[in-house]
Amino acid sequence: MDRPDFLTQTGKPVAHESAIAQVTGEARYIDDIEEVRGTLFAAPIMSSVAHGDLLELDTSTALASEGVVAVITAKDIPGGKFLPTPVPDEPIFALNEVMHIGQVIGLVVADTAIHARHAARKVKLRIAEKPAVLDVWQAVDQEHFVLPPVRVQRGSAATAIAAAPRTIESSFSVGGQEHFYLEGQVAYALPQEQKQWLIYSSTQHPGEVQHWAAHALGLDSHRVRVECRRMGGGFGGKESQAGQAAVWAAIAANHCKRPVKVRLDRDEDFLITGKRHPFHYRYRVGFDNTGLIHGLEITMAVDCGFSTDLSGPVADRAIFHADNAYFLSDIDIQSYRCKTHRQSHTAFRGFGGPQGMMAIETIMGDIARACGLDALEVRRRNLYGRESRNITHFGMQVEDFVADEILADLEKRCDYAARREAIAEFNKQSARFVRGMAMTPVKFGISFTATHFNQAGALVNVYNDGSIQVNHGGTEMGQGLHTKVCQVVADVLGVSLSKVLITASDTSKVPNASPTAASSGTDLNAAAAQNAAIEIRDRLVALYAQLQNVAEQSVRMEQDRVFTSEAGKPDMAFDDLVRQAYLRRVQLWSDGFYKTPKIHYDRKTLSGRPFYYFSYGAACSEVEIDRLTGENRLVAVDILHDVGRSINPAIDIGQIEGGFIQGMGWLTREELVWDSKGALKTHAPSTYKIPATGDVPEHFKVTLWPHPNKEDTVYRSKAVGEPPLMLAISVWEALRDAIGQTGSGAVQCDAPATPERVFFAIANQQSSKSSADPRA
Amino acid sequence: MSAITEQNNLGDLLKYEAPNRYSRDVATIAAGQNLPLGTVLGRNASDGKHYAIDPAATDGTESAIGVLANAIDATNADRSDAILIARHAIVAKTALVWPIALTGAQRISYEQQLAERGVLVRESATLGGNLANGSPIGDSMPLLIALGGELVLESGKGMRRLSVDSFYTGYRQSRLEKGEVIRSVSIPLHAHSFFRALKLSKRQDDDISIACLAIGISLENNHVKDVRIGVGGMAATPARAVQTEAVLKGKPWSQATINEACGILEAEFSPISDMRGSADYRKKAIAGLLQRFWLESQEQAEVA
Repeated sequence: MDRPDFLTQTGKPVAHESAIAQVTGEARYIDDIEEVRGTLFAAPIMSSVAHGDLLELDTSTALASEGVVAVITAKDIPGGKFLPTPVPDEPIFALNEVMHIGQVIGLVVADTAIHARHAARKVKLRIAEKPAVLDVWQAVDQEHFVLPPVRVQRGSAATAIAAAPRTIESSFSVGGQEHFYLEGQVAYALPQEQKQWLIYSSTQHPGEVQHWAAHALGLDSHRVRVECRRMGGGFGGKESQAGQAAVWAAIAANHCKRPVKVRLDRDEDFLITGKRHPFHYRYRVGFDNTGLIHGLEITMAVDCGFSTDLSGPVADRAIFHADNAYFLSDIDIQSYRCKTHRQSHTAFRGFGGPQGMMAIETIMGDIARACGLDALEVRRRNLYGRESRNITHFGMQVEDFVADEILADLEKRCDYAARREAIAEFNKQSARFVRGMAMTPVKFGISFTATHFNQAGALVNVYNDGSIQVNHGGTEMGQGLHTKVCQVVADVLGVSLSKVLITASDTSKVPNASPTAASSGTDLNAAAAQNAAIEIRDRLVALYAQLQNVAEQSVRMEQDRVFTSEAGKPDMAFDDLVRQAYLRRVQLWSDGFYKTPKIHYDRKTLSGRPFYYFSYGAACSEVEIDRLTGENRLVAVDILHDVGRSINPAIDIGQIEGGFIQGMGWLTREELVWDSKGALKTHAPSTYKIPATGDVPEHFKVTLWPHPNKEDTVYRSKAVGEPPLMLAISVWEALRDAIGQTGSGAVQCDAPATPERVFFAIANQQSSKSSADPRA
Repeated sequence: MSAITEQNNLGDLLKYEAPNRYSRDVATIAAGQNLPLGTVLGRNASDGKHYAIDPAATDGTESAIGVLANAIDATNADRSDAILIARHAIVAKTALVWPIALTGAQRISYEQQLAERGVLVRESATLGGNLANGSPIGDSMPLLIALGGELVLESGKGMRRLSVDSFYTGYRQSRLEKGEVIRSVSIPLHAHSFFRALKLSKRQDDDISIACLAIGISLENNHVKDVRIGVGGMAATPARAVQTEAVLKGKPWSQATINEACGILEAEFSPISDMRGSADYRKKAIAGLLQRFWLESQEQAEVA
């Protein structure tokens, strides 16, 4: 639905609905909720071995420890012992086998969190160690998979590569990423009367927490109510894996018949929960001297960890984004979903899309260096076309392509050509520093690939004083969804924003809600809320038309009043009309529903139209490397990003800035190091470094692409949560551009491009400087 | 854009107090003042009311008697609901509010006055704690080694002095004996031609070093007269790069000398590989930091 001109709330950069409450500390998170008398606290008992048979659990010392009430293990689960995921391969507590260091075997429940934590360390484990699979290529060789391999082909890549004038064959890997939500995983389970439950959970998917908890308790879903007012960050880490903490709390509460809270400390959170999937690539690409790709074969070995979790759709989305913005006529993608004895890797902003794009963007940089062309030229040459060359490798026609226009616009805005020259000059002058630059596009598919998730519900209540309460199936994790929903409802009813209040996400208000994920929060939930508000507006308009004896088409609602365009009729305050409606027994609340149109695809062949539309963007990053140590920094970035018609530019720009910096952290700083035994050594902020304010460049310019969505989304806006993260691939490519300028060989580097990796990549350039590159 | 600036709260100020509100008094703030939390207070001997201390006064308010624990706006009238931290407490140095134009010496004297009342002013961390902890990747030890720092250790038996570079005996082990404390750290006066402490970490800010190099040189006729090098992250303890120092000493201050020294420094230590960096990288990067020292010394005109 298009946004009419008179609207006053949407399109405005209004502040986040909780901004002041969050700054002043008034905003409550799960751990801020006053605990009910008798509340107990649980701490996890974790495996110290990556793979082995669990022989014995000696809990005697722990049970004798101060304040301890109980030790909970799998035998205390009244219902299903595995999480009811599509592939039910993850036990709630390890049964006879442990499968990663940190896997939760049970809980110690005590009167305080400290007592529980101290006692959990006193549980003695006897585990017969078995060989652990920690290398994905070993997993591929042994066919040690959580799901069968998937292959997507179009044309004949092998033939095209054989016939191409030039080829490159290479490999590299991209590391995982810890979500590092400020608020860690937390849940508080309160038994109610008659086998009913209230669970406070910091979750992106209250409906799934409800389902999982009911399953573990052996109850029907209607007995469990899950509530979440807000999360202190989610980033995908609370899409599925918020459920474990909630299920653990519920099982412990059921056993002890008292409320139980589970709040992981940061180290536990790192050791227990999954990360972004690390990807390992092997590729062979055939191209010509203009840089045009003729054929591409790529293997993606995905490190899924010990259980399936969301690895299937994550690996699928990587396949769907292996093209990014480029037409690949002959392509052969092989995707292995490797089972390793590590944390179960899970959703993370971008959900496989970033890992898909990383491969093709890295290949673009390789081709440019091999051909001696500017990488932007090579990227442009391979872009999707408008009339032809516009079908993806999964058979979807790209109908809304604008990456070409965005790149051209940004190229001018950031003065690309002049800066290229300046960088070349700088590099000639400087022995110590080397600079590089890259401009990369983003084309990101919007919709859940699980088609049934693309539905949403909302509830709008108008009270008889004219105040309005909104509730919908989405969750707030700081991204501003609730703010946008309030703006939309305010505009439909023509009232000021202060009249619209949003309340906690609650499974008893909107059932079966999808996760707030896949960037779809506003597309789905704001549209559902809009539909609910339209129902009420239509009833109010009809009443006003009847009261004033005017045509309904003449009535409009804006600025807290109701008007008619017919002459001589009085306008009316919204509140007064609402009171009249109540007295005349007009229903003042409504539900609303929305489902995304046009989407369909075949999960077996991965073909069809999985996405309603694409979000686009481009970024140009300039970096500087200190050749003496490999230390590097982002000097400047210019971003042009497509959010359609923005519902809230302040929030959208915030999402773009945050997404970009988070992506930059993934590709440059945030390094997960597991030792040879499978222990995660970087499990705290002392060793795992997310970007700090000092890493944000002084020149950080974000511009919104000023065109509405071509598809009929809520006010023609576009999804914004995930796509900007992938703009940070420009930083990665700028670093590789700089490394390439120190020598003549192929640039060989894994991500994240830590100082150490950059240092050795430059060292390789130096050593290959004299010898001709065999691949060139 | 409107902004909300969070003021210091009681937690920022009060780090310790005695039970049962023993540390607290209720006090009257005299009219005409708007005092933030953390203001150091004096008492006027004649009216018994409290004022922000004034070193120039002679009415009693020239002496500190405690610290204000809540913000009090007494602009228009006396306020008798002020909470005074008067005894047996620890307050954070950063949260104290002093009169403008107070000299450093005056402040020290006021802190002593507070200490006499049992109100201790503390920094949140100390150099001595860092030294005693002795982490091989702490950054103050290489710095003190390069500066020729000495520790004064004291116990019931008396005092003794020990150079920082001879203080450590193994991973987090030192010559500090049972019952002994680090009383002070002394650093000799230097006339360095050039001094730098360079740290390498995955992230620029707020990160623990992969490797750290602190180095000071004194030049005479463009030859290295004296040099001291402290390193971190290269061994089980903070260490002094004696071999590299030996190579540099007496040589002309030149690129050739530095290149030779870099080769020695790269081989002088056998660091470990861990989650911060590999042994190979540490060796090459510490040499890179020495090159950086050279390049930065060349950018500084007076070093020649």
